[in-house]
Amino acid sequence: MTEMLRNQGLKRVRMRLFTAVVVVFTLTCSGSFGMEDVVSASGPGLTLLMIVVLPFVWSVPMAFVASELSAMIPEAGGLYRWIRRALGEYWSFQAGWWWTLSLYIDSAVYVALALGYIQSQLNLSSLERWLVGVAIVAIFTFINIRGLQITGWSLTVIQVVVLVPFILFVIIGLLKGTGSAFSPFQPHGQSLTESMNLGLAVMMWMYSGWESLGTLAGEIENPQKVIPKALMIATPIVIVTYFVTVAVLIRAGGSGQWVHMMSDTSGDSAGIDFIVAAKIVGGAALGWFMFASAVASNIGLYAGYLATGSRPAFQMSRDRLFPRFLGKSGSWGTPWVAILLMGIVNCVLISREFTALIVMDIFLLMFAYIVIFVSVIVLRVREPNAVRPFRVPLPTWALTIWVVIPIAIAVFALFTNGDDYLVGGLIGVLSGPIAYLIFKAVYRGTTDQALEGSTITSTGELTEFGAEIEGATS
Amino acid sequence: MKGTAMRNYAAVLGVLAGVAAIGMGLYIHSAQPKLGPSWHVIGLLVSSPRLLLGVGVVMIVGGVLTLWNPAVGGVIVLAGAVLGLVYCYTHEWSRFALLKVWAPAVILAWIAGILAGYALAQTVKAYDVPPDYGEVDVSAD
Repeated sequence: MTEMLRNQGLKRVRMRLFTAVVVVFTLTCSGSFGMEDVVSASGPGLTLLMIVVLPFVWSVPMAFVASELSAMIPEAGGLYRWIRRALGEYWSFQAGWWWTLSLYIDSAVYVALALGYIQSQLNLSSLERWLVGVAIVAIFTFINIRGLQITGWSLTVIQVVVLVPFILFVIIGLLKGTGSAFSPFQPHGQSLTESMNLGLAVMMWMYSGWESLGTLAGEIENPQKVIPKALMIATPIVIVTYFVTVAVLIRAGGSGQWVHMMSDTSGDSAGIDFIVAAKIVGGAALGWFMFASAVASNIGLYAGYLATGSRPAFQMSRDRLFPRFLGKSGSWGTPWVAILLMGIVNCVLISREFTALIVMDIFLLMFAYIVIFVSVIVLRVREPNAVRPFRVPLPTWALTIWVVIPIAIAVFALFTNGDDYLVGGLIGVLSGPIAYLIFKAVYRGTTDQALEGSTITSTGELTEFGAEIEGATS
Repeated sequence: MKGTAMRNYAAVLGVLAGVAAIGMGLYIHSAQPKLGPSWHVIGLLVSSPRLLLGVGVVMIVGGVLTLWNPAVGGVIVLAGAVLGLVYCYTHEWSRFALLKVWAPAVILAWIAGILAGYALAQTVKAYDVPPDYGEVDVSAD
């Protein structure tokens, strides 16, 4: 197969559609842990309504946009490459930087959450806790370096561990639960906007990650077909998973108990999370199953984001915008240095309190999303005839209207998460221009001609080589 | 727009960010001198007005330096903005009030940083070839 210069050294593996769906499911859902906070903040009825409605204005647009872009530009680094082609080096660096920084923090959060669940049952010392965390990081760093195929298999096994307890919980919860899943609609004494605001930020978080699989496009055989199909299949699965499990959670918790629902019950003996709810309807055994599911869910998210989070940095290095060593690939055909660096940063982060960094997260991700949405429109206008093996079935004007909605939601969310997130997030965002000025001055970058010359001409037309890469001749 | 024009705009906006910081510093010195507890840095009492005035001067210097080197000048201007935001972040009880005071300087510095980035992208001669990592055999499994 013809391979692009910047993808050289990466090994394309055959990823079954089923595995690709599992990877997307892991990156976007991986169980419903975290939804407990939305239930108590927004009320049972509104939570379930938001689970159904929000995807159509938030995650479905991103799933479609990511499908179109990853099919059109199936290169390692995903969003970073899409934006480079649409908006040039500066904004691609910004989005790549924000997204990568966000995932460096995020991935450490998932390890910390897994450790939190383990800590709640095993009472580890801080050293033991850290060592368990390092072991998790080390195992999945190795798996990721070993290759995408084994990463896909491990995620499949993890999702079995995550979902089997949920299936049991749903069956038993429906039979034994006593609470009303839809009533009340929202907390008493709150306006609809107030109730929505509280849960919206969490739910936006729960419904993010659709762009992530695109970062692996340089290592998947036939990504133009596999990635869009996987995204289209995973989207309804994720919505149904959230809806059913949260409805049963409310029912299993008992009448009126939704007010006590929270994802972290360590400080509140009356608190109800999925584990407590599982114990209520299924006894200690189901509680332990659900505990295993919670740990596996966070480990799965970690493994998934370790895979995707390392690719933009690899590609930015190949574009001479990051240190050269990050662009190295090994004989297993993976960007092992970028993966290893992410693992090392995760080990450092979990050894200390990094709450201050978490507040940056949402801002960084939201800004990257906004740039992705802008890019798809720019590419539609600038390259209307480019080969798009998957195309959002909307004309450009309608697509523009559709993506304006999630952009507006993203901007809205920036100002509704509290002033700590606003200020902390701005610090994170400003790190982007600073990093660009430093890295560009030091490493100089690579011309688009050198990078894209083989796929598109200087006027943006697809070359013969580019057509082959993008599937026009296949 | 040419790189030199971008650089000039970046410099002007960097200087304006500094002027905005100094202006807000003078304003709260008279209107709200107690806004936000002070920082104690190596024996110095850094209050909100003082920090705004100091960062304002740094931003003006950064703005002027942008004319010489967009990377150096841009980083200085943006670093001032980040310092201001860190100050806001560390003052939990007056965070939003402080942010409103810092907002003009931060926004102008951000735009200056973007323009400095564009100027740098146009003035720095990028490599014509991707880095060479040699042959990597990925066929083995």
